[in-house]
Formats: sequence, structure tokens, C-alpha cells
Amino acid sequence: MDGIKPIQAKITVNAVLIREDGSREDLGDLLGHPYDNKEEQEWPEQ
Amino acid sequence: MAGTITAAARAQIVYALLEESIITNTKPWLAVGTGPGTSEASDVALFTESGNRTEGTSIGQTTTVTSGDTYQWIGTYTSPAVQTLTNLGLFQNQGMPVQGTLVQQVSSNTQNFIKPSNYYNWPTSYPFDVQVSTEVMTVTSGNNYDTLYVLRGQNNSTALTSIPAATYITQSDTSMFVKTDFTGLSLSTGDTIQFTINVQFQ
Repeated sequence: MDGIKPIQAKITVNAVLIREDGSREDLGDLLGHPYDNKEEQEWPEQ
Repeated sequence: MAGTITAAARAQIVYALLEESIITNTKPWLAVGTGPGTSEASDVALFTESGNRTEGTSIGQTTTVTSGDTYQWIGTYTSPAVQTLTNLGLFQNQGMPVQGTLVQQVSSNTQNFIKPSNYYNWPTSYPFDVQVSTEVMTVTSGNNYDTLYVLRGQNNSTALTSIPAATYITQSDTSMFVKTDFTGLSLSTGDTIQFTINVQFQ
């Protein structure tokens, strides 16, 4: 109850990789929130 | 009893980050790093910055949960070499930090000096901060030859009891405001990444 709380932030880094040959690959969130805002997705087994 | 900042404050924090760009008529720069480590709020530089900072193409204030609670940066990075990215940061300045490596391990959490591989590349105007692994040190002077004298565990970081030789020393340019680390991302020369970075204050 000292009144001190850190300011917290949720960071997402969504990345799309474009290879030199022009091909594209959606890497999703590099920080590992691939299932955010997606329904009917199962979490991977730990 | 409880206290909190309000949703309005979150939006104002985002606006303050944007305002710095508005004042300078620039957009923040993305920098990438290739060194190991877990990001801490006390960090002042990347883990082994790779160079080639790239200015954002778009920045803005968006909403994830409450109005205007999210800072968004969009831009691209093209890899100049084969490398594996492990961390990245957003900076208000474009500058490239001075970097070197430890030629000698740090062997206690009270050792008050470090020996960099490239002494003469380092500023001779003191003080300035450096990131060494997860620790922040303040360089207060040098011996004009091979040794930088430091204050340990600065900026609320923890002074490490041991830091191996060859660990990178990265200068702070005092402008990093977001840092993240992630599982290694392997890139070939010429590969481009389109980044959309969202920072949602909670």
C-alpha cells in the first residue's frame, strides 16, 4: 500500500519477412502472442 | 486502499511520446541487436546493436482497450548482412552508439573499471552510460590508455557478480524508449522486415 505501481505496457512486434526473391512470410508477433484476437485457436502444448 | 493512473493518463503518455517526434519533425528510429539478454526497464541500449537504424514510416496513437492507449510505430528494416536478430528498440535519435567488447572479464559486482577492446573510440567527455549485458554502468573517467572507470548498477539495474570477457559494451544515446527481446530471427543479406510495433499502456 505504498502507492507505487510501475507503468506497464504490452508490446507486440508484428513482422512480415520479405526475402530478396520477393516472397513474403508473415511471422506474426515476435514476442509470442500469436493467438491474440483469434478465436478457436488452441494453445500449443507446453 | 488503492491508487492508479487513469485511462486518460495512458492516452497522455502516448501523446507525449508522439509529441517529441512532432517537435523534431522526425519519426523514431528502429535499431536491432544481435546479443543475448532479457530486456529490463533499466536498460539504456540494445544488446549488441547491429547498426543501420531506420526511421519509421508511420507513427500514431491507436486504441487497444481504452481510447488512445497504444503507441504504434510502422517501418521497415533491411538486413545488410547475414545475422540473427535477438532484440530491437525504438530511439528518438538516429545516432550510432560506440560499441566495444570487454577484453577482460568483470569479476565482481564492485569492480570499478572495465577494459574495452577499443579504448580510443570512446568519448572523453564524461559521464556517459553504457549497457554491459543486463547492467547499466556510468563511465566517469578513463586512464587515457585502456581503462574506463565506472559506477556499477546504475539506473536501477543490478550490478552483476561476473561478466565474461568479449561481452559487448554499448553506449547509451539516452533516447531509447522501447526495447524488446525475442527468439532469434535469422536474416540473409537483403532480407526486409516490415514491422508494426504496438506499445499498449496498461
